Amino acid sequence: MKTIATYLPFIISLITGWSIVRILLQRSEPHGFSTQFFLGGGLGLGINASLCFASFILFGQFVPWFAATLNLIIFITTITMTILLNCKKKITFLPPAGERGNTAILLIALLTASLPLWILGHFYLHGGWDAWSVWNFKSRMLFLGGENWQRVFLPELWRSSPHYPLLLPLTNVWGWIFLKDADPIIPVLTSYLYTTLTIGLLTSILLRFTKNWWVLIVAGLFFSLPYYLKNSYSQYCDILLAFHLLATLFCLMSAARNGSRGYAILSGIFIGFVSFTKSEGMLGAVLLAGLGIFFLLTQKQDFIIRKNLILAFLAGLLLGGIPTALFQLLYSPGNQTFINGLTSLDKPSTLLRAQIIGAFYLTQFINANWNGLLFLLVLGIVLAGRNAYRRDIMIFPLFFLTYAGAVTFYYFLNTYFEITWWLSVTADRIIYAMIPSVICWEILSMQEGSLRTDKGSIAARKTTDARS
Amino acid sequence: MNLLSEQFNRLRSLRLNIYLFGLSIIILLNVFVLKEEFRRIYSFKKIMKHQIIGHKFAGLDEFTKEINVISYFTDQDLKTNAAGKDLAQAQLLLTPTIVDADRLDHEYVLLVCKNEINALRIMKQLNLIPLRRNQHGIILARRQS
Repeated sequence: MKTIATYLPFIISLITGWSIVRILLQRSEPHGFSTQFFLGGGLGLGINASLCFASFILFGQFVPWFAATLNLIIFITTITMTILLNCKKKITFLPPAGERGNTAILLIALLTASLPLWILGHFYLHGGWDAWSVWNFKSRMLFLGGENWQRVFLPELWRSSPHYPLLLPLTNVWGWIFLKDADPIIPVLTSYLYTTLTIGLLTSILLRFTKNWWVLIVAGLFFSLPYYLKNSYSQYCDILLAFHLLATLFCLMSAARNGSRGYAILSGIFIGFVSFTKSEGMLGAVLLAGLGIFFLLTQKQDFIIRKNLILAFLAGLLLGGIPTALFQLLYSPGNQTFINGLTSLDKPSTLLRAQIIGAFYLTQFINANWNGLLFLLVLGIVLAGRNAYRRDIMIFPLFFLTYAGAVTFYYFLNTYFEITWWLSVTADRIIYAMIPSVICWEILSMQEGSLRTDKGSIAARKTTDARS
Repeated sequence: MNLLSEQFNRLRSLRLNIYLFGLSIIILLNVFVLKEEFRRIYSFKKIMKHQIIGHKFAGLDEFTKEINVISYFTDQDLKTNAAGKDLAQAQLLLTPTIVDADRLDHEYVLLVCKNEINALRIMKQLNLIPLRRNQHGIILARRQS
């Protein structure tokens, strides 16, 4: 019975998210089951966590029966809609016959490759340092704290970053919803699931566009890189950021390529989740929102299609941004660890600080944690050449450049922390969250021919749909 | 023209192959490091099934669960890894009680001292009476009214 209660929330999330993605993309993309499955997994987890947040807002504490009822209503509604659409033959409930084999092979390959993470995750049951002092502490406080849960925002708890948003803690709370206690296995499963969904999403995108089974090597890379595994089983929030960033960029690209309003809505929702992960996510979300509009606006489609895409994107943004907006308005105590180095006389931003930041970035290339991966990423940009800056995938480099610039400037500006220590505990995690998206961009850049084929088959139908 | 296009596509494919080959080399390097990590874990597994944290604070949550906030005193420097880790683990295990390491004026105080004489001294200084002491020497004390 406990096993069912442990896994049930995650199963509900996967099915709910998959159903919503399937419904949203029914017109634009009847195929691409595996990509939709992984996208849906993260979407479902985000939605269920956000609905749990509603309980805190409405009742001032976590009310499990209310959160469970709300989530089950969404689950039943989306499942019913999917079944009805399936009956009308608008979408298929299971992968189409031609895709079943490939989907099964991909899933089996991923589950096999993820075994090291499963074993390590179950050994390091309580995760790493920041899981104790930030993420799991907040999760437990939300679940066990009753009406006192808002103590997580007390300034005295500055070591626990009280201003950080709550997507990961709420996902863990959702995981505990059918259990009587805060079982440590739930954060383990959350981390495992998000890591597998991230790598699964990446691999399925690459497989779909390259039609090259060798791209499964990418999954092997992530599930074997010890530092990547460590960051994942440590139960930190960075893997949530990695997933939602990749999902946002892919959905924006697909919205532009296929003229798909469904993808535009999804990209907006995912940006909302990016902002609800942590402060770095908030910064990324602001950039993505602005760049997303610019990116969709500068595509070559008819003005009416672009207008529809932007409206759909804004609708998704509005929907996905609700939890962050409420969090910021009602609860966030503001950043307790910020000193503006440009105006502070006690702790000014100095040239030395800028030099340390630059030097630290360079040392990352020889950092043994990455086993030479960062060199390969640079090589990938060289190999991709001009293709990396094509209009239809321009959102990737635009985001990477602006985000790297913004993060670097923030390191320079905020002088609260001693910079060497701060960089050593945060910079590599930002790199960790970006790597799946960077690899996705590089490999897509090397496959222009295949992308055109995919675009050709889908975009023509899409344009017709959008016009109709 | 077709031949040129075919050559161009081959070149693209070559680029991807070089890239994937590079990733494969990294996977090979990873395997050696990962093997060492698993060897380490299996040696740990002979004595414990999984990671155990905060055993120092075991059992104290029974007595703190009704308390909103407790002060945290340690005779170690909280900037050091060991002391910082103790504080983080205490906070996690004693949730939903808040552990305040910045103030000593709450009604209840948790004393985490390497040297028990330091704990006795601070109890006298803050007018505290001990309520519980576990086998690891961690003391939960209460301010005398």
